[in-house]
Amino acid sequence: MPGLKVSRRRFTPKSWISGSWISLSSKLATGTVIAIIVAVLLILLSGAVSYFWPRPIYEFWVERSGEAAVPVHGIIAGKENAADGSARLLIRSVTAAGDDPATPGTDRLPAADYVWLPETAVVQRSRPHHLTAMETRDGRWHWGYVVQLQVDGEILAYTGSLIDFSNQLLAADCAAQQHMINALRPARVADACSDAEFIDWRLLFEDAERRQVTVAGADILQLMQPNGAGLLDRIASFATHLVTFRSPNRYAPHHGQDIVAAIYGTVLMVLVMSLVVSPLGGLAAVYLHEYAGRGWLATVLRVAVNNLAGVPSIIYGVFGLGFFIHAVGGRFDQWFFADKLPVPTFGTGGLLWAAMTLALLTLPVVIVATEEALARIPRSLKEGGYALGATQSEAVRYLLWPLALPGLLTGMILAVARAAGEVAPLMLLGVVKQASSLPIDGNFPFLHLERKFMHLGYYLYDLAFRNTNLKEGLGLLFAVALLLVVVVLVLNLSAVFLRNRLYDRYRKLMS
Amino acid sequence: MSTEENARPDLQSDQTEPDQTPSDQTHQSDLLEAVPPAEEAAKVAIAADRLSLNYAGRPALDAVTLSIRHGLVTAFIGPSGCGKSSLLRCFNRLNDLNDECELSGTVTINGEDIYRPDVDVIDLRRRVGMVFQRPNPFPKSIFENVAFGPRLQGVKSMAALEDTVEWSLRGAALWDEVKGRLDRSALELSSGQQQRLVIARAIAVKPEILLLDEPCSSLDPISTLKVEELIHDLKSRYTIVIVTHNMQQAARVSDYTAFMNQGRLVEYDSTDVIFTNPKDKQTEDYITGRYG
Ligand SMILES: Nc1ncnc2c1ncn2[C@@H]1O[C@H](COP(=O)(O)OP(=O)(O)O)[C@@H](O)[C@H]1O
Ligand SMILES: [Mg+2]
Repeated sequence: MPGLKVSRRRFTPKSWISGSWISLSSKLATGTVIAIIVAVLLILLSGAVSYFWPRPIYEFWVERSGEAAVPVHGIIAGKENAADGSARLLIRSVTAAGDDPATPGTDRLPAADYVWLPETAVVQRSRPHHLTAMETRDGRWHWGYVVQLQVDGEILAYTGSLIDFSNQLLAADCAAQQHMINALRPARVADACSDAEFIDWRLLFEDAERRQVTVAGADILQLMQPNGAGLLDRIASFATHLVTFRSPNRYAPHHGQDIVAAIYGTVLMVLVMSLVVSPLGGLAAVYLHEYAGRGWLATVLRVAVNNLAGVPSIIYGVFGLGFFIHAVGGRFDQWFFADKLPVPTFGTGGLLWAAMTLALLTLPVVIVATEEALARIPRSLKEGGYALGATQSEAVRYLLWPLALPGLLTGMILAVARAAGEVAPLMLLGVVKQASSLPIDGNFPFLHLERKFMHLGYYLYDLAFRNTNLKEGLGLLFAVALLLVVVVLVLNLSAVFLRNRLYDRYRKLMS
Repeated sequence: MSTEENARPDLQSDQTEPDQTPSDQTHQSDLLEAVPPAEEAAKVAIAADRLSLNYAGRPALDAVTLSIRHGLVTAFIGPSGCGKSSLLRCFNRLNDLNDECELSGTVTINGEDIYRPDVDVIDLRRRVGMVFQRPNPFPKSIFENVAFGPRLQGVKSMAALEDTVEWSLRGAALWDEVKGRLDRSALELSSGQQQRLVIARAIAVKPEILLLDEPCSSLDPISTLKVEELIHDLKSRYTIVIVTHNMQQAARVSDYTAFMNQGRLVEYDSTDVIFTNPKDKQTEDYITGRYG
């Protein structure tokens, strides 16, 4: 078309530089954030994987000050380079040097402990396929060889490979020996006592110092030959240990149950908190947006809501302790549970008060998010309702509220993320290291809101303090941390999923 | 005969030049002739008397006095910001929603003062339906949009609701286009269809008066044509007040036209007179495009 002028944007060097600078730096910033997140997840993941992955057992031949070399069995737990260039290995093992905390007596093997071995002292190291790790019922680990297997006093044909042996048992299809198979399958963590078809089986175990001990099958939790196991067996072992949250490498007595209890506690508390905070936050937002107007009361409320988000969480904990536990809970006990006093029912920390306190903590987020959603609703929509003869409450209920829901859920997503990670206030409100019962069970009324509960965040905190400076201990820490991340993620994703389904419905209107 | 008096399109006395007073009378006779059945024409649907309105102290309407006839289409024209919408929103008290809005003067509908404290605003808004400049369907299904008003009035029977929805959608010339997908979201419709849906929603509560505030300003020409045809059809059943920016539209659809400027009613007469023989210089300038 003649005369049609195409307007060109003029590029000056300055605009070009500033423009690209902004785009470059924003890309850099995004990249950095993603890199940090990925790095954190990778560290947690590698720590967690190494905790559940069956590690090889070594046979070291150790030579000390001119003496003849002696064998030491163990797992490498770490390595340290000294300033002079020499290195030493941290071994979890039964020490050969005799400085082990061996229990006196012939029928018990010394338990594993950590020892440092100078690398120069190790003249030879190998990973024999038949080297066996045995976990006994008392939670101890032992390394050595299974010399002999007997059932009811009868010695069985045994080549040294537990995997071959259990395969034989399986092929023979002898149901009576199921228990034995359970203990022998490297992937299984058997619970000997719970097995109905109990048979009397025992094995002869020989440790690095050639001490032989007969161990009853009933005392054995698991037997593994990780060096001989193929990849599939190792993956199977990893998976079983992951599910039961027990390490195949080290003593970890209660973790499985504790972790389950902590997951229950965390999820339940977040759910109860959501049930409390969503109606409260939603209605407060509707009130502020729709009814409060611009009076001083509304202003005070808005300022309070915006500033409450910045109050340190421990202050909420103190408030919960003073208000919910002592004032409200104490009153509750006097009214409804007087027969149990002086033992408090609600007058002490518990799931309900923790959830209520966290609901207060996350209330501002929910209110602000919901109010923003309300503010985004076009005025014309409400007017359309009024023009049809809707009262204010009808307009709110049928037109505003459905559209505010996605915002409310966005608030809930933020609230869940915050609540699931909060530990400090919980310590005042009924979280415990070890709970004797879950807050949910088969006994009426099924949900026991007054009970004390375990929480992943607090469990992690406690673990971190209990653990010494040993690097190996970090594995469990990372595993629990990753689990907490996963729990928060699952809770969050379900809220996101819910919100997106709502958004789909309203997207066209909001754009 | 007081209604007759009210029916007279009123020129602002403070801005009317003295020599226009005789023409004022001519006006009246013109008007009476323009509407054939005299008894019908005498019926006044809406009457505003010295209606003034301020938004937070800023005047938007200045002593507007006019009567809108029953059963006819009345168009409000005028430059934007002159107060057309504000005036329209006085007729269903939608301005009540705005705290900053102050009003003086009276508005009567069918002879009843709608700003008396004991008036049921909810019922008033049912009787006086309104359609806005931009289609504002609710984020619900087509069916629920139309059924919204009847439901508010407590209609629960599904059969009754279905009847009303069909009747309204037919009335809004939309039925054939949507009858197969009443349960789909109203937001999926084109904006022309949405605007007709909103009209269907408005007539579903069986109002007496329809206020249309620039109903076609966000529509394409074909949708505009459809809405205009619809206005023609609706005319026989409702008193319609339409605000429009489009001079041709006002000429096409309306019986009476009011020209407003800066919060004042400048000239109000039968559409023929306004477009062929305006009395006021401002009106003439505006309709010939010489305004501003
Ligand atoms: N809600 C409101 N708050 C404050 N001022 C308003 C509001 N609505 C309209 N106005 C003002 O009132 C005057 C008339 O507006 P309006 O009635 O919308 O004009 P029109 O519909 O003729 O374009 C304008 O000056 C506008 O700025
Ligand atoms: Mg307007």
